[in-house]
Amino acid sequence: MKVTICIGSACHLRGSKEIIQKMQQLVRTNNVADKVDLNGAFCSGNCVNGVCVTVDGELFSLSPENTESFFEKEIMGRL
Amino acid sequence: MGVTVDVAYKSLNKFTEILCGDKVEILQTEDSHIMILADGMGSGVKANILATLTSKILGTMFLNGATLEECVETITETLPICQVRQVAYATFSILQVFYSGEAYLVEFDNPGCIFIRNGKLMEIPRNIREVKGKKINEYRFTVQKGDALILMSDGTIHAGVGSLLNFGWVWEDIAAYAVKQYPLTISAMRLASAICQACDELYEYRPGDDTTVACMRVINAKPVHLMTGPAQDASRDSEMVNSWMGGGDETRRIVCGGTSATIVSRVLKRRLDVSLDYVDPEIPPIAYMDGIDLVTEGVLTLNRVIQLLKRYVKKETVSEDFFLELDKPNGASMVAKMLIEDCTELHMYVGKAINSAYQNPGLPFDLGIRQNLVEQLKHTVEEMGKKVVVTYY
Repeated sequence: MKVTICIGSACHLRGSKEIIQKMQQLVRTNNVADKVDLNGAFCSGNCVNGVCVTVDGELFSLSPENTESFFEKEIMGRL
Repeated sequence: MGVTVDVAYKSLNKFTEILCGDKVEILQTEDSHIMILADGMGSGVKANILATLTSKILGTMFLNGATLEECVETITETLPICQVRQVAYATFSILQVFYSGEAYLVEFDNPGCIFIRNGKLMEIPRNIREVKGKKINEYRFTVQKGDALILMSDGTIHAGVGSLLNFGWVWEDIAAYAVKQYPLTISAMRLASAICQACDELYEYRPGDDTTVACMRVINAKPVHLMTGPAQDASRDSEMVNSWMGGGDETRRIVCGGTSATIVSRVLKRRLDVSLDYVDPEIPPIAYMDGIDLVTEGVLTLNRVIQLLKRYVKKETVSEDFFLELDKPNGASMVAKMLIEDCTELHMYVGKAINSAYQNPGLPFDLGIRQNLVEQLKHTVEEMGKKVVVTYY
């Protein structure tokens, strides 16, 4: 599964760094490093709503606060 | 021959003085680069005024084609006379290097110019001429790529006098140190800075005299093409990318901006790999693309680049610490390093499109300031003595 996290200007200011750290940790603790491929991305064109994250091409808008529930639902839920 | 130069200088003020009594002027004419170092008698305000007047008069008159005689006469008659010593006095050195490779050195009472070629110290012959009662050494020669020429005020050779070194840091030893630093440094600034740093250490960080090292290195032209921001009219995207990709093999290419990088990737059909590696918490990670020297985020990175370049232009804060900051692997340090150390002229390709998401007052930083940043970047790089061209799309 390919997950991208936008690190463009607007997303960076909304907390890309924190989301990346949380995701990397969640991937480790759930032991799914072989299944989930985390990547950086530049602007996905949806800057207004939050940090742009895509899961196999599907676009989501995240904040550091809802990263954990997102991971449970959209990433663990799809594996 | 088509040579250009990398010029930089570094000064230490005499301990407790706020002003420096040495002054360096860096000028460009249609066909040459000129570097002038003047050392005013005494220290503090008086020395600063003498040095400033001397370097400015020399610079302005030289630019307008005056002869050496005329310059010296004007200086002698203009400088205020020192109450204590009853003379008007500032020592000076002038170095002019033409694009053709011809060079002209004039020295009056400063420590001799250090001339390094192929890693060896070159001798500058004595050819003294008396001009208006002043004994002036003149030397006409031809430079080659790789040559380094170093002008100094006498604060360098007095470093450590009476404490660490009996007779100060003698010219021959400074020259030997410069020859040793020559292969270890690329830019003029690092070479000047290394010598200045050594003087500061010999003075035990309390310089007994104003100390200045000005360095000129003869190099090939190194153009940098920097693209930032998407074109206002998206139909001009490929035109913009193609102009930015123009230039010869020696041209370095930087793209600053996520959307811009995406456009480049699309136009050139090259893959863009974005790193997740936050080496600096405030600067978004960089990305990689085949054949492109540097891919970074836009506005936040450029903002930091400008801060770094402004620190560099204000010489006081350029120390070894500054270069350590410059060597860091974050996008902003990498752009700043390239502009400082590996660039003789900058061409910016700037898109004027406005990202509507940036007009959001909820963000903790005003992202809609790209054009303001471009203006600041232009001025700062020009202050560094480099040519800047900006093309808007």
